[in-house]
Amino acid sequence: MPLLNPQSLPTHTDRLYRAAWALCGSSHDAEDLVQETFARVLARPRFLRGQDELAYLMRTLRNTFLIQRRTASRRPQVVAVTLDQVEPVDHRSAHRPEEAAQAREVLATIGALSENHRLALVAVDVVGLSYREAAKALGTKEETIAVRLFRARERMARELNSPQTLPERERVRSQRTSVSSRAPRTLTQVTDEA
Amino acid sequence: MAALADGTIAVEQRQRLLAEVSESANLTATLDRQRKAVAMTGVLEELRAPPALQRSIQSLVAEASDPKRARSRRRLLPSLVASGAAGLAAALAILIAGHSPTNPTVLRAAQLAQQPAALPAPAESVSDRQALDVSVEGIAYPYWQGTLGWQAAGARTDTLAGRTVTTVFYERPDASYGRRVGYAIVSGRALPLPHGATVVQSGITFKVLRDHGATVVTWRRAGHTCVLVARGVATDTLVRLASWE
Repeated sequence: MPLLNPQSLPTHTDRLYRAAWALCGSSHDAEDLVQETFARVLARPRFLRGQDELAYLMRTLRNTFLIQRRTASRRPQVVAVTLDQVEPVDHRSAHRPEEAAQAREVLATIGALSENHRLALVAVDVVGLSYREAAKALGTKEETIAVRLFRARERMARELNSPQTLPERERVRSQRTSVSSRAPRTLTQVTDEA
Repeated sequence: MAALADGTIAVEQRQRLLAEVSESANLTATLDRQRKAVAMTGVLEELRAPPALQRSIQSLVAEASDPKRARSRRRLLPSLVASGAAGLAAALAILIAGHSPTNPTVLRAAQLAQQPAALPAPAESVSDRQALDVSVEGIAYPYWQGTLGWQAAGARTDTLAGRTVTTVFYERPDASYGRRVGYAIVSGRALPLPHGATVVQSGITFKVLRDHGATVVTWRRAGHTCVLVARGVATDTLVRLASWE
Protein backbone atom coordinates (compact mmCIF):
# COMPACT_ATOMS: atom_id res chain seq x y z
CA MET A 1 0.00 0.00 0.00
CA PRO A 2 1.68 3.27 -1.06
CA LEU A 3 2.52 5.90 1.55
CA LEU A 4 1.48 9.50 1.04
CA ASN A 5 4.58 11.56 0.22
CA PRO A 6 4.52 14.89 2.12
CA GLN A 7 6.96 16.48 -0.34
CA SER A 8 4.55 16.21 -3.24
CA LEU A 9 1.56 17.68 -1.44
CA PRO A 10 2.27 21.40 -1.97
CA THR A 11 1.68 20.93 -5.71
CA HIS A 12 -2.02 20.58 -4.87
CA THR A 13 -2.30 23.75 -2.77
CA ASP A 14 -3.81 25.93 -5.52
CA ARG A 15 -6.43 23.38 -6.45
CA LEU A 16 -7.36 22.71 -2.86
CA TYR A 17 -7.60 26.44 -2.19
CA ARG A 18 -10.06 26.87 -5.07
CA ALA A 19 -12.10 23.95 -3.77
CA ALA A 20 -12.05 25.34 -0.24
CA TRP A 21 -13.15 28.79 -1.41
CA ALA A 22 -15.98 27.25 -3.41
CA LEU A 23 -17.09 25.29 -0.32
CA CYS A 24 -16.73 28.06 2.27
CA GLY A 25 -17.66 31.10 0.19
CA SER A 26 -14.84 33.19 1.63
CA SER A 27 -11.14 33.40 0.74
CA HIS A 28 -10.10 33.74 4.38
CA ASP A 29 -12.18 30.78 5.52
CA ALA A 30 -10.70 28.90 2.57
CA GLU A 31 -7.16 29.60 3.81
CA ASP A 32 -8.13 28.35 7.24
CA LEU A 33 -9.72 25.21 5.79
CA VAL A 34 -6.74 24.39 3.57
CA GLN A 35 -4.28 24.93 6.42
CA GLU A 36 -6.33 22.69 8.71
CA THR A 37 -6.63 20.02 6.00
CA PHE A 38 -2.89 19.86 5.43
CA ALA A 39 -2.23 19.91 9.18
CA ARG A 40 -4.49 16.87 9.61
CA VAL A 41 -2.98 14.98 6.68
CA LEU A 42 0.59 15.68 7.76
CA ALA A 43 0.01 14.90 11.45
CA ARG A 44 1.13 11.32 10.84
CA PRO A 45 2.08 8.97 7.97
CA ARG A 46 -0.84 8.16 5.68
CA PHE A 47 -1.50 5.21 3.38
CA LEU A 48 -3.27 5.71 0.08
CA ARG A 49 -5.84 2.96 0.02
CA GLY A 50 -6.76 2.71 -3.64
CA GLN A 51 -6.87 6.45 -4.29
CA ASP A 52 -4.40 9.02 -5.48
CA GLU A 53 -3.08 11.99 -3.48
CA LEU A 54 -5.53 14.53 -4.82
CA ALA A 55 -8.56 12.35 -4.12
CA TYR A 56 -7.22 11.72 -0.62
CA LEU A 57 -6.79 15.44 -0.02
CA MET A 58 -10.28 16.15 -1.36
CA ARG A 59 -11.73 13.61 1.05
CA THR A 60 -9.88 15.18 3.98
CA LEU A 61 -10.89 18.67 2.87
CA ARG A 62 -14.52 17.66 2.75
CA ASN A 63 -14.37 15.96 6.18
CA THR A 64 -12.60 18.97 7.70
CA PHE A 65 -15.16 21.32 6.14
CA LEU A 66 -18.05 19.33 7.63
CA ILE A 67 -16.39 19.17 11.06
CA GLN A 68 -15.81 22.93 11.05
CA ARG A 69 -19.43 23.50 10.03
CA ARG A 70 -20.71 21.31 12.86
CA THR A 71 -18.45 23.02 15.39
CA ALA A 72 -19.49 26.48 14.23
CA SER A 73 -23.19 25.58 14.48
CA ARG A 74 -22.71 24.56 18.14
CA ARG A 75 -21.23 27.94 19.14
CA PRO A 76 -23.49 30.55 20.76
CA GLN A 77 -25.29 32.78 18.27
CA VAL A 78 -23.42 36.01 17.67
CA VAL A 79 -24.29 39.12 15.75
CA ALA A 80 -22.14 39.82 12.74
CA VAL A 81 -21.41 43.53 12.65
CA THR A 82 -20.11 45.34 9.63
CA LEU A 83 -17.90 48.40 9.83
CA ASP A 84 -19.13 51.33 7.78
CA GLN A 85 -15.59 52.40 7.06
CA VAL A 86 -13.54 52.77 3.93
CA GLU A 87 -12.45 49.29 3.00
CA PRO A 88 -8.76 48.67 2.41
CA VAL A 89 -7.75 47.95 -1.17
CA ASP A 90 -7.75 44.27 -2.10
CA HIS A 91 -4.30 44.14 -3.71
CA ARG A 92 -4.79 40.62 -5.00
CA SER A 93 -7.63 41.53 -7.35
CA ALA A 94 -6.26 44.95 -8.36
CA HIS A 95 -4.22 43.62 -11.28
CA ARG A 96 -6.95 41.63 -13.12
CA PRO A 97 -10.24 43.03 -11.98
CA GLU A 98 -12.42 41.44 -14.68
CA GLU A 99 -11.14 37.94 -14.06
CA ALA A 100 -11.49 38.50 -10.33
CA ALA A 101 -15.09 39.65 -10.77
CA GLN A 102 -15.90 36.62 -12.92
CA ALA A 103 -14.35 34.26 -10.40
CA ARG A 104 -16.31 35.92 -7.58
CA GLU A 105 -19.52 35.48 -9.52
CA VAL A 106 -18.85 31.80 -10.12
CA LEU A 107 -17.87 31.24 -6.48
CA ALA A 108 -21.01 33.03 -5.26
CA THR A 109 -23.12 30.81 -7.52
CA ILE A 110 -21.41 27.64 -6.32
CA GLY A 111 -21.85 28.84 -2.73
CA ALA A 112 -25.60 29.05 -3.24
CA LEU A 113 -25.88 25.36 -4.15
CA SER A 114 -27.01 22.77 -1.62
CA GLU A 115 -24.16 21.12 0.24
CA ASN A 116 -24.31 17.80 -1.63
CA HIS A 117 -24.48 19.47 -5.02
CA ARG A 118 -21.69 21.86 -4.08
CA LEU A 119 -19.41 19.02 -2.94
CA ALA A 120 -20.01 17.05 -6.15
CA LEU A 121 -19.35 20.05 -8.36
CA VAL A 122 -16.25 21.04 -6.40
CA ALA A 123 -14.83 17.51 -6.47
CA VAL A 124 -15.26 17.06 -10.25
CA ASP A 125 -15.26 20.49 -11.88
CA VAL A 126 -12.98 22.41 -9.47
CA VAL A 127 -10.60 19.76 -8.16
CA GLY A 128 -10.69 17.65 -11.34
CA LEU A 129 -11.43 14.21 -9.88
CA SER A 130 -13.05 11.54 -12.01
CA TYR A 131 -16.59 10.56 -11.10
CA ARG A 132 -15.24 7.39 -9.53
CA GLU A 133 -12.61 9.25 -7.47
CA ALA A 134 -15.19 11.83 -6.44
CA ALA A 135 -17.58 9.09 -5.34
CA LYS A 136 -14.87 7.54 -3.20
CA ALA A 137 -13.77 10.87 -1.73
CA LEU A 138 -17.34 11.84 -0.86
CA GLY A 139 -18.45 8.42 0.32
CA THR A 140 -21.18 7.84 -2.25
CA LYS A 141 -21.88 6.07 -5.55
CA GLU A 142 -20.65 7.14 -8.96
CA GLU A 143 -24.23 7.42 -10.25
CA THR A 144 -25.11 9.72 -7.35
CA ILE A 145 -22.16 11.96 -8.21
CA ALA A 146 -23.33 12.16 -11.83
CA VAL A 147 -26.87 13.14 -10.80
CA ARG A 148 -25.71 15.73 -8.25
CA LEU A 149 -23.23 17.15 -10.72
CA PHE A 150 -25.87 17.43 -13.42
CA ARG A 151 -28.25 19.25 -11.07
CA ALA A 152 -25.51 21.53 -9.75
CA ARG A 153 -24.51 22.57 -13.26
CA GLU A 154 -28.14 23.16 -14.25
CA ARG A 155 -28.59 25.44 -11.29
CA MET A 156 -25.31 27.23 -12.03
CA ALA A 157 -26.16 27.79 -15.68
CA ARG A 158 -29.57 29.23 -14.79
CA GLU A 159 -28.12 31.49 -12.07
CA LEU A 160 -25.32 32.81 -14.23
CA ASN A 161 -27.83 33.53 -16.99
CA SER A 162 -30.18 35.38 -14.69
CA PRO A 163 -30.27 39.21 -14.74
CA GLN A 164 -29.69 39.31 -10.94
CA THR A 165 -26.50 41.22 -10.26
CA LEU A 166 -23.56 39.82 -8.33
CA PRO A 167 -24.11 42.04 -5.26
CA GLU A 168 -27.74 40.88 -5.19
CA ARG A 169 -26.67 37.23 -5.39
CA GLU A 170 -24.12 37.74 -2.62
CA ARG A 171 -26.70 39.50 -0.48
CA VAL A 172 -29.17 36.65 -0.91
CA ARG A 173 -26.46 34.13 -0.14
CA SER A 174 -25.31 35.95 3.01
CA GLN A 175 -28.91 36.15 4.23
CA ARG A 176 -29.24 32.39 3.82
CA THR A 177 -26.08 31.72 5.82
CA SER A 178 -26.54 34.45 8.45
CA VAL A 179 -26.53 33.11 11.99
CA SER A 180 -28.69 35.88 13.41
CA SER A 181 -31.78 37.72 12.31
CA ARG A 182 -30.95 40.79 14.43
CA ALA A 183 -30.11 44.00 12.61
CA PRO A 184 -26.39 44.78 12.47
CA ARG A 185 -25.16 47.25 15.06
CA THR A 186 -22.42 49.81 14.71
CA LEU A 187 -19.01 48.97 16.07
CA THR A 188 -19.26 51.66 18.77
CA GLN A 189 -22.30 49.89 20.15
CA VAL A 190 -20.41 46.62 20.16
CA THR A 191 -17.45 48.26 21.90
CA ASP A 192 -19.66 49.57 24.67
CA GLU A 193 -20.86 46.08 25.43
CA ALA A 194 -17.44 44.38 25.20
CA MET B 1 -25.55 14.10 -19.93
CA ALA B 2 -23.08 15.37 -17.32
CA ALA B 3 -20.31 13.15 -18.68
CA LEU B 4 -21.15 14.14 -22.26
CA ALA B 5 -20.82 17.81 -21.34
CA ASP B 6 -17.43 17.50 -19.67
CA GLY B 7 -16.04 15.01 -22.20
CA THR B 8 -15.53 12.13 -19.79
CA ILE B 9 -18.14 9.91 -21.40
CA ALA B 10 -16.96 6.60 -22.86
CA VAL B 11 -16.10 6.91 -26.54
CA GLU B 12 -18.52 4.17 -27.59
CA GLN B 13 -21.43 5.99 -25.97
CA ARG B 14 -20.57 9.48 -27.16
CA GLN B 15 -21.70 9.27 -30.79
CA ARG B 16 -24.97 7.57 -29.93
CA LEU B 17 -25.81 10.16 -27.29
CA LEU B 18 -24.86 13.10 -29.51
CA ALA B 19 -27.18 11.74 -32.17
CA GLU B 20 -30.02 11.53 -29.64
CA VAL B 21 -29.36 15.04 -28.39
CA SER B 22 -29.34 16.50 -31.88
CA GLU B 23 -32.87 15.22 -32.44
CA SER B 24 -34.31 17.01 -29.42
CA ALA B 25 -34.34 20.77 -28.85
CA ASN B 26 -34.75 20.21 -25.09
CA LEU B 27 -31.74 17.90 -24.88
CA THR B 28 -29.68 20.27 -27.00
CA ALA B 29 -30.51 23.16 -24.66
CA THR B 30 -29.68 20.98 -21.65
CA LEU B 31 -26.32 19.99 -23.09
CA ASP B 32 -25.56 23.65 -23.82
CA ARG B 33 -26.32 24.60 -20.21
CA GLN B 34 -24.14 21.79 -18.88
CA ARG B 35 -21.25 22.83 -21.12
CA LYS B 36 -21.65 26.46 -20.12
CA ALA B 37 -21.47 25.55 -16.42
CA VAL B 38 -18.30 23.52 -17.06
CA ALA B 39 -16.76 26.46 -18.94
CA MET B 40 -17.69 28.94 -16.24
CA THR B 41 -16.10 26.83 -13.53
CA GLY B 42 -12.94 26.87 -15.63
CA VAL B 43 -12.39 30.58 -14.78
CA LEU B 44 -11.47 29.45 -11.27
CA GLU B 45 -8.24 28.02 -12.70
CA GLU B 46 -6.87 31.58 -12.48
CA LEU B 47 -7.16 31.57 -8.68
CA ARG B 48 -3.92 30.94 -6.85
CA ALA B 49 -3.40 30.27 -3.17
CA PRO B 50 -2.01 33.36 -1.43
CA PRO B 51 1.79 33.35 -0.94
CA ALA B 52 1.36 33.30 2.86
CA LEU B 53 -0.70 30.13 2.65
CA GLN B 54 1.79 28.47 0.31
CA ARG B 55 4.66 29.32 2.66
CA SER B 56 2.66 28.02 5.58
CA ILE B 57 2.01 24.69 3.82
CA GLN B 58 5.70 24.41 2.96
CA SER B 59 6.50 24.86 6.66
CA LEU B 60 4.09 22.08 7.58
CA VAL B 61 5.62 19.78 4.96
CA ALA B 62 9.15 20.57 6.13
CA GLU B 63 8.19 19.77 9.70
CA ALA B 64 6.46 16.53 8.66
CA SER B 65 9.49 15.48 6.62
CA ASP B 66 11.93 16.21 9.46
CA PRO B 67 13.95 13.00 10.00
CA LYS B 68 14.15 13.68 13.77
CA ARG B 69 10.36 13.58 13.98
CA ALA B 70 10.26 10.29 12.05
CA ARG B 71 12.97 8.79 14.28
CA SER B 72 11.14 9.69 17.47
CA ARG B 73 7.98 8.09 16.06
CA ARG B 74 9.88 4.92 15.18
CA ARG B 75 11.47 4.82 18.67
CA LEU B 76 8.15 5.18 20.42
CA LEU B 77 6.22 2.56 18.43
CA PRO B 78 8.39 -0.53 19.16
CA SER B 79 8.56 0.35 22.86
CA LEU B 80 4.77 0.59 23.01
CA VAL B 81 4.33 -2.77 21.28
CA ALA B 82 7.03 -4.77 23.02
CA SER B 83 6.70 -3.67 26.60
CA GLY B 84 3.16 -4.83 27.28
CA ALA B 85 0.72 -3.21 29.71
CA ALA B 86 3.27 -1.75 32.13
CA GLY B 87 5.33 -0.34 29.32
CA LEU B 88 2.23 1.07 27.67
CA ALA B 89 1.23 2.87 30.85
CA ALA B 90 4.75 4.29 31.21
CA ALA B 91 4.85 5.37 27.56
CA LEU B 92 1.47 7.07 27.88
CA ALA B 93 2.67 8.89 30.99
CA ILE B 94 5.65 10.18 29.02
CA LEU B 95 3.36 11.35 26.21
CA ILE B 96 1.00 13.11 28.62
CA ALA B 97 3.84 14.75 30.57
CA GLY B 98 5.26 16.05 27.30
CA HIS B 99 2.15 18.17 26.80
CA SER B 100 1.92 21.37 28.79
CA PRO B 101 -0.92 21.33 31.30
CA THR B 102 -1.86 24.88 30.18
CA ASN B 103 -3.80 25.15 26.95
CA PRO B 104 -2.80 28.19 24.90
CA THR B 105 -5.53 30.79 24.53
CA VAL B 106 -5.96 34.00 22.59
CA LEU B 107 -6.09 35.98 25.87
CA ARG B 108 -2.78 34.53 27.03
CA ALA B 109 -1.22 35.46 23.68
CA ALA B 110 -2.70 38.96 24.01
CA GLN B 111 -1.16 39.33 27.49
CA LEU B 112 2.24 38.36 26.12
CA ALA B 113 1.81 40.90 23.32
CA GLN B 114 1.50 43.67 25.94
CA GLN B 115 4.91 43.00 27.49
CA PRO B 116 7.87 45.26 26.67
CA ALA B 117 9.82 44.77 23.47
CA ALA B 118 12.93 42.62 23.87
CA LEU B 119 14.25 42.76 20.30
CA PRO B 120 14.95 45.59 17.85
CA ALA B 121 12.37 46.63 15.28
CA PRO B 122 12.35 44.41 12.19
CA ALA B 123 13.22 46.09 8.91
CA GLU B 124 11.07 46.41 5.84
CA SER B 125 11.22 43.29 3.66
CA VAL B 126 13.37 43.62 0.55
CA SER B 127 11.25 41.20 -1.48
CA ASP B 128 7.81 42.43 -0.37
CA ARG B 129 7.36 46.16 0.20
CA GLN B 130 4.13 45.58 2.05
CA ALA B 131 5.69 43.37 4.68
CA LEU B 132 8.36 43.39 7.35
CA ASP B 133 11.34 41.09 7.24
CA VAL B 134 9.95 38.75 9.88
CA SER B 135 7.39 35.99 9.62
CA VAL B 136 5.89 33.08 11.50
CA GLU B 137 5.59 29.87 9.49
CA GLY B 138 5.35 31.82 6.26
CA ILE B 139 3.03 34.55 7.53
CA ALA B 140 4.69 37.94 7.35
CA TYR B 141 4.00 41.00 9.47
CA PRO B 142 2.61 43.96 7.53
CA TYR B 143 4.53 47.14 6.75
CA TRP B 144 2.22 49.94 7.83
CA GLN B 145 4.55 52.92 7.89
CA GLY B 146 4.10 54.12 4.33
CA THR B 147 0.30 54.28 4.03
CA LEU B 148 -0.96 54.07 7.60
CA GLY B 149 1.75 55.81 9.60
CA TRP B 150 2.41 53.00 12.08
CA GLN B 151 6.09 52.06 12.19
CA ALA B 152 7.67 48.93 13.61
CA ALA B 153 9.20 49.75 17.00
CA GLY B 154 10.35 46.44 18.45
CA ALA B 155 9.59 42.77 18.82
CA ARG B 156 9.61 39.87 21.26
CA THR B 157 9.12 36.14 21.18
CA ASP B 158 7.56 34.04 23.92
CA THR B 159 6.66 30.43 24.40
CA LEU B 160 3.09 29.53 25.27
CA ALA B 161 2.29 25.88 25.94
CA GLY B 162 4.86 24.72 23.42
CA ARG B 163 3.88 27.32 20.82
CA THR B 164 5.91 30.35 19.80
CA VAL B 165 4.19 33.72 20.09
CA THR B 166 6.03 36.33 18.06
CA THR B 167 4.99 39.93 18.62
CA VAL B 168 5.93 42.96 16.58
CA PHE B 169 5.19 46.35 18.15
CA TYR B 170 4.06 49.30 16.09
CA GLU B 171 3.97 52.95 17.17
CA ARG B 172 2.59 56.22 15.82
CA PRO B 173 5.42 58.76 16.16
CA ASP B 174 2.99 61.64 15.54
CA ALA B 175 0.75 60.79 18.51
CA SER B 176 0.73 63.29 21.35
CA TYR B 177 1.49 60.47 23.75
CA GLY B 178 2.74 56.97 23.12
CA ARG B 179 0.37 54.69 21.24
CA ARG B 180 1.64 51.19 20.82
CA VAL B 181 0.01 48.21 19.14
CA GLY B 182 1.20 44.66 19.63
CA TYR B 183 0.71 42.32 16.66
CA ALA B 184 1.19 38.69 17.72
CA ILE B 185 1.13 35.58 15.54
CA VAL B 186 0.94 32.19 17.25
CA SER B 187 2.75 29.24 15.68
CA GLY B 188 0.91 26.02 14.92
CA ARG B 189 -2.77 25.50 14.31
CA ALA B 190 -5.26 28.22 15.06
CA LEU B 191 -6.42 28.60 18.65
CA PRO B 192 -10.10 28.37 19.52
CA LEU B 193 -11.85 31.68 18.99
CA PRO B 194 -12.78 33.38 22.26
CA HIS B 195 -16.23 34.68 23.12
CA GLY B 196 -16.57 38.30 22.14
CA ALA B 197 -18.19 40.67 19.69
CA THR B 198 -17.93 39.61 16.06
CA VAL B 199 -16.94 42.09 13.37
CA VAL B 200 -16.90 41.29 9.68
CA GLN B 201 -14.65 43.51 7.58
CA SER B 202 -13.49 42.81 4.03
CA GLY B 203 -14.76 39.26 4.32
CA ILE B 204 -12.66 38.54 7.41
CA THR B 205 -14.24 37.60 10.72
CA PHE B 206 -12.70 39.35 13.74
CA LYS B 207 -13.42 38.75 17.40
CA VAL B 208 -13.19 41.83 19.60
CA LEU B 209 -12.85 41.66 23.36
CA ARG B 210 -11.59 43.64 26.35
CA ASP B 211 -8.93 42.48 28.76
CA HIS B 212 -8.19 44.70 31.79
CA GLY B 213 -8.51 47.91 29.80
CA ALA B 214 -6.79 46.66 26.64
CA THR B 215 -8.69 46.07 23.41
CA VAL B 216 -7.96 42.72 21.78
CA VAL B 217 -8.79 41.89 18.18
CA THR B 218 -8.17 38.36 16.94
CA TRP B 219 -8.59 36.71 13.55
CA ARG B 220 -6.98 33.99 11.41
CA ARG B 221 -4.49 34.19 8.57
CA ALA B 222 -3.68 31.03 6.64
CA GLY B 223 -4.95 28.95 9.55
CA HIS B 224 -2.90 30.79 12.20
CA THR B 225 -4.12 32.87 15.10
CA CYS B 226 -3.29 36.58 14.90
CA VAL B 227 -3.84 38.99 17.77
CA LEU B 228 -3.77 42.78 17.78
CA VAL B 229 -3.81 44.39 21.22
CA ALA B 230 -3.53 47.99 22.39
CA ARG B 231 -4.60 50.48 25.05
CA GLY B 232 -6.05 53.82 24.08
CA VAL B 233 -6.44 52.88 20.41
CA ALA B 234 -9.94 52.85 18.95
CA THR B 235 -11.37 49.44 18.11
CA ASP B 236 -12.21 50.41 14.54
CA THR B 237 -8.58 51.52 14.06
CA LEU B 238 -7.37 48.12 15.22
CA VAL B 239 -9.80 46.29 12.92
CA ARG B 240 -8.77 48.53 10.02
CA LEU B 241 -5.12 47.73 10.71
CA ALA B 242 -5.85 44.02 11.02
CA SER B 243 -7.77 43.89 7.74
CA TRP B 244 -5.09 45.77 5.81
CA GLU B 245 -3.39 43.56 3.20
